[in-house]
Amino acid sequence: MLSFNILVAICLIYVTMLFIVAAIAEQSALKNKLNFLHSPIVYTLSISVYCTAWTFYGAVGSAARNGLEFLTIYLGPTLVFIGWWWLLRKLVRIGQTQRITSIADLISSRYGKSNLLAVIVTLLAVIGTTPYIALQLQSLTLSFAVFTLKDANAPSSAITAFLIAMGLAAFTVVFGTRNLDANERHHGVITAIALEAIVKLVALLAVGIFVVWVVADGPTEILKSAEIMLPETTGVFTPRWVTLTFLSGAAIICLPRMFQVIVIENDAEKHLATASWAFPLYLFLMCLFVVPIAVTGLEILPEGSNPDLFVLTIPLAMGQEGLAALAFLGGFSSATSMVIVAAIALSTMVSNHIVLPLWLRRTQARNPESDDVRSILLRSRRISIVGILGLGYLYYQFTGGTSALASIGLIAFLGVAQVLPALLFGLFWRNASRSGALAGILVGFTVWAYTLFLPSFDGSFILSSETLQNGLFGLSILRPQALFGINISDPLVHAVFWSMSLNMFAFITLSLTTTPKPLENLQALQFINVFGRSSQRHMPSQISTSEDLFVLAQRIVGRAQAGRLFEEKAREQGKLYGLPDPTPEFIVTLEREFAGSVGAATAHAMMGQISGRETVSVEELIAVADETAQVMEYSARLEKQSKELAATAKELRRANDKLTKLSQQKDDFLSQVSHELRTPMTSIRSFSAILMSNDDVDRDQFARFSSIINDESQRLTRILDDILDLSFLESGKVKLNLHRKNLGELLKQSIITSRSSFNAPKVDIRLSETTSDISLLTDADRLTQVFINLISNAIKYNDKPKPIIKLDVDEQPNGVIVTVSDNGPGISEGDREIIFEKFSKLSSDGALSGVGLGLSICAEILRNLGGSIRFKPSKSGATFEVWIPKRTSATLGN
Amino acid sequence: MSEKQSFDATNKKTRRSRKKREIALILPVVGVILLLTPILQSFTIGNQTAPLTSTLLYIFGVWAVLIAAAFILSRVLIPEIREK
Repeated sequence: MLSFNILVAICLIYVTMLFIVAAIAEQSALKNKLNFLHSPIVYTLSISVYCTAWTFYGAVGSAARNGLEFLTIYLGPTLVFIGWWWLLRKLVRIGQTQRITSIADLISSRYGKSNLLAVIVTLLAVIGTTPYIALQLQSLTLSFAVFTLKDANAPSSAITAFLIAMGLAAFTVVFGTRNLDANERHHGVITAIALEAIVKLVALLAVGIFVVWVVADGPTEILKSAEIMLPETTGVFTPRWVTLTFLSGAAIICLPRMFQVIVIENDAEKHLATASWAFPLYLFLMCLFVVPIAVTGLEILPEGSNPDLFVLTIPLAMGQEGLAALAFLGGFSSATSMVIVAAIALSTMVSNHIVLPLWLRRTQARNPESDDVRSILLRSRRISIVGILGLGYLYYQFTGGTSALASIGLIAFLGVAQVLPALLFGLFWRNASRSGALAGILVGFTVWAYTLFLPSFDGSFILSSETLQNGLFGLSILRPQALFGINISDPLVHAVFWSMSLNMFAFITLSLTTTPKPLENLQALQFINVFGRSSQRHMPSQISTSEDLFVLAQRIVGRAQAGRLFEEKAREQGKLYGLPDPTPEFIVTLEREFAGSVGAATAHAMMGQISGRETVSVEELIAVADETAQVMEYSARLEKQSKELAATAKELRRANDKLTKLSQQKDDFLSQVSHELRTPMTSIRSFSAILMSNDDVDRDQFARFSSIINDESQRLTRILDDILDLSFLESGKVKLNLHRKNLGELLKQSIITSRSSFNAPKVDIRLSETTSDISLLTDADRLTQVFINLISNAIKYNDKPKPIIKLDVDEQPNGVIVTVSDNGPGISEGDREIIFEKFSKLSSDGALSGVGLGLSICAEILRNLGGSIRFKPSKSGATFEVWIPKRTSATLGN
Repeated sequence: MSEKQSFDATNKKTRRSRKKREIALILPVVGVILLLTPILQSFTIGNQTAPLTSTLLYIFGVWAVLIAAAFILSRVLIPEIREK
């Protein structure tokens, strides 16, 4: 017989091995040697944390007692996994994009980052998991007891359980709280658990093979005796069969530890593809020998032996101590891996959703920057782990060995399954709301407690046996195991039926009757369309400073990582040093990053605190407009685009026409300019030739000829001056000579100058009276040039016998509009486009002097002065509108 | 002409990948029909001599087929996964 001491030694060696494996895995994860750790096989094996001691030992017991019913516990997960593409993949994707840390975090994040929901789901998870941990402790102590029945050295089961709980707590604290970010995988723990998964499978297969081919005479023989030994009803397709399959399928998603390994510890979505067949295969192999072991146990072991321990007692009865020890290690692995992962998952939930919000509220008054969130979190996680294991131990102490504990597995499944409606509807139904989720979970949880959990104590806890018999307050309609007088013989089926239907009823009713908050709508969109075009439209409206954000980041993710994060972002924004700008994208990224450590609700609250914002911005509201609106927006955008394209095409055509015309103008101008230059040149040349060759030019003639030469050369100079002036203005190198000047004076001066140069007294120039007191800070000489040009043009091109030119001034807050209009021939529509272009000389005025630079010079001067000029279409004559700012700034000019 | 061909090709491609994804939906439905409906009972009712053995073999058989189908499906669907 294996003595207690040997057994303890085996356990210690095994645990040491696990420690070493976990430590090596952590080390190589640090050094980025992750090839093996990243394999889908490790992922698949870690999911086998589903198979606890309850299934390792209990499946055989269940088969011996209830026939094939045990299969449902494995068929539910199988069905969920082969449908991975539709549910698990979405969960994993959401988990990654939203940086989800636990199932409570997922629910809270989906329903508007509500911390209340997170707290409720956390409590539910703790209540559902604590008995389950107790169950593992019980199965461990029972399996110890099998070996130490006659060993006087052996400590009592209570002490064994206590020691086991301590050891597990130590392991979990060491490897489960190494890094804070739940999204950084627990490589050490996962690798250890993968190893334990192999041990479980090998142990069960070894016992199975031993039983079938050594103890019995092969499978045919076994099946034959199975027909006799196992219960007559096979239990397939009874209400209980369907219910159990549903429950186990729900459990694989909702159990905190399953969520932890499937969603949070997932490295890549394609690992899920492997797990979709490999995990069902694992379950298949785990089940393969359950019936043979059960049958053989019933055959060879004395009547009354506990069928739950057949896996151990058969090898022992056959004298195979080695095999028994292996089977013991299998059970040990099943129990420990479950407890470790459950403790990690629960501690994350407790610290993120309960401890941290409480701490934040308490420290809000004090200066929060003096504390380190990280150390608080780590400490609270460690304490939570110890606390959860302590709770499990206490629960075991109070109920150990009673039937209450034995049946707790399925009861716990149903308890955590109450979050299933909130989870599934949240993934696929846009209108699922926070109030609906709250109501559904609370109603389902109450019904579960009332119809299943409390009655499982047989009247010794809260509900008396009196109440169990006759209903609450003696109302038979409220009998816990026959609600509303409807008799469903199986209490589990009864509880599943009522809790799930009332849960969903409450959920749907409240979701349909309440209006969700904008943030909920936003999150709903992000969850439901997680595979759609990814858009980070969630934009905080009010922006905090980078310094505040940096301090907060240091507190949450630690100094080194915060530094890295900010540096990376700054580089992304193109900054060589300093902190990045707090752009909306950056803030969203940061909040996600924080959510990876402290959960969505807390991260949101912290960011809200620092940026002083709790409401949702207009951009967010636009983002949550329903999908029809989105489609409409999209089509409107398309329409706008096509309109824009049409407009652009039209513009281009116009530009092309203009260019053609300009090029024509240029050609014309060149010939014009050469002509204009040639005319004075010709006269200068010929008159100077006369003067040169002809000696008998008299005094008068000499004076006349030289004056012509002088005039012509002046004209030449003027033309060249104009060209130079224009190119100078265009180059933007003009130095403005700014000083104050009265607009009225300026205009009068312009009128006088233009009049004198044309010697045209009959022209009627009317200046409005309102100009006297407007003073401008501008370059008066240049501005005068503009008006001289405009007035001269108006005089020059006027064909009326009595030309009238009107100057009107309209004062505006920042500037003045001077309108110069005349009663001349006006400008034809075709020419209006090009009058301000260089060299443009209109077709009709070929006979007059000038080279068509006047208006371009005006436009350039005004551009330099910060003003503008435009041609104003009018019924008769030409009207130009000049806008001049009251203050021209010196920096203008180019 | 060639443009139309390439359009048809992409169309065919998306149609094929959509089909693949829809097969992924059918598999669990088939599983539910085979494992959770009265089909299961046909073995216990019709077979008086060895109801348990036949049911057991049926369930394990269906299970194995589902696993095999899931294996093939996962090979088919892996290229469809667009990781972030």
